[in-house]
Amino acid sequence: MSEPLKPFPEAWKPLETEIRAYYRALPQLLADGEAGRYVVIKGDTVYDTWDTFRDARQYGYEKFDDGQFMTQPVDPKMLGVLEQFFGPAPVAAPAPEEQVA
Amino acid sequence: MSGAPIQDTFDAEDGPRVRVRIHLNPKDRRHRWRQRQVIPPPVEVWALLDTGAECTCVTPGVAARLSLPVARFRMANAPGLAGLTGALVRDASFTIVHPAGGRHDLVLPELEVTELDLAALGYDALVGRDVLARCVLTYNGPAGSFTLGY
Repeated sequence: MSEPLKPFPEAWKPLETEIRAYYRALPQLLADGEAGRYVVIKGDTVYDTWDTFRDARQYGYEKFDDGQFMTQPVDPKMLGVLEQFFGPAPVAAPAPEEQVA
Repeated sequence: MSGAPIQDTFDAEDGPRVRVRIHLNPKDRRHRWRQRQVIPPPVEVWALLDTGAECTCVTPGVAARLSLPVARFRMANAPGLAGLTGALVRDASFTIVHPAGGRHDLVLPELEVTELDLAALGYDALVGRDVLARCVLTYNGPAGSFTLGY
């Protein structure tokens, strides 16, 4: 039996769509070696990753007229945190097999 | 160190507090100016110097008065409040106001502040270790005084 899901934190409600998108994308981001970088997400669209929070924020302010977007570290610990609200995380796509000569 | 430290007294119940000024960070101010949006004036409140806080925090009321943009989410451990809880992190600029005037202020044009409902504790803001890492805080409990240099 799996644990029942916990209610989504009230404080996070303004970012609920972005947090769901982050959780969906996180396994793939980690598989792609993006841990420690910063991802920009607006709505359910995951944009790119940057080395620094500052660079990622700069990108977002330039790209989005309303100035509203999320900049989140790609952090494996968040898989466990968010699983309790959303259920098991999606599995990352396997890396393409290397061509064998 | 940039000059004379802030020297003040405190009572044991409230703890050491300083005046802080919170505003939109320069990126957000430029953005709002380009979008012809209203730029609210900065907000000044008292803040507890809290070596137990990993990060600087403001109340939802302060964040709302400035419409501080949400940057990200985090888990925050606030034993005096709800324990481990979800919180939003917002972009801000943050200034510790020196009683002697502006040139002695500690100005941090870009700082992430965590939004926490501190009302139950009676504070509008906490100065956490992210800011105190730039400061020398001397806490004299028996005398009920502190100094804060930076």
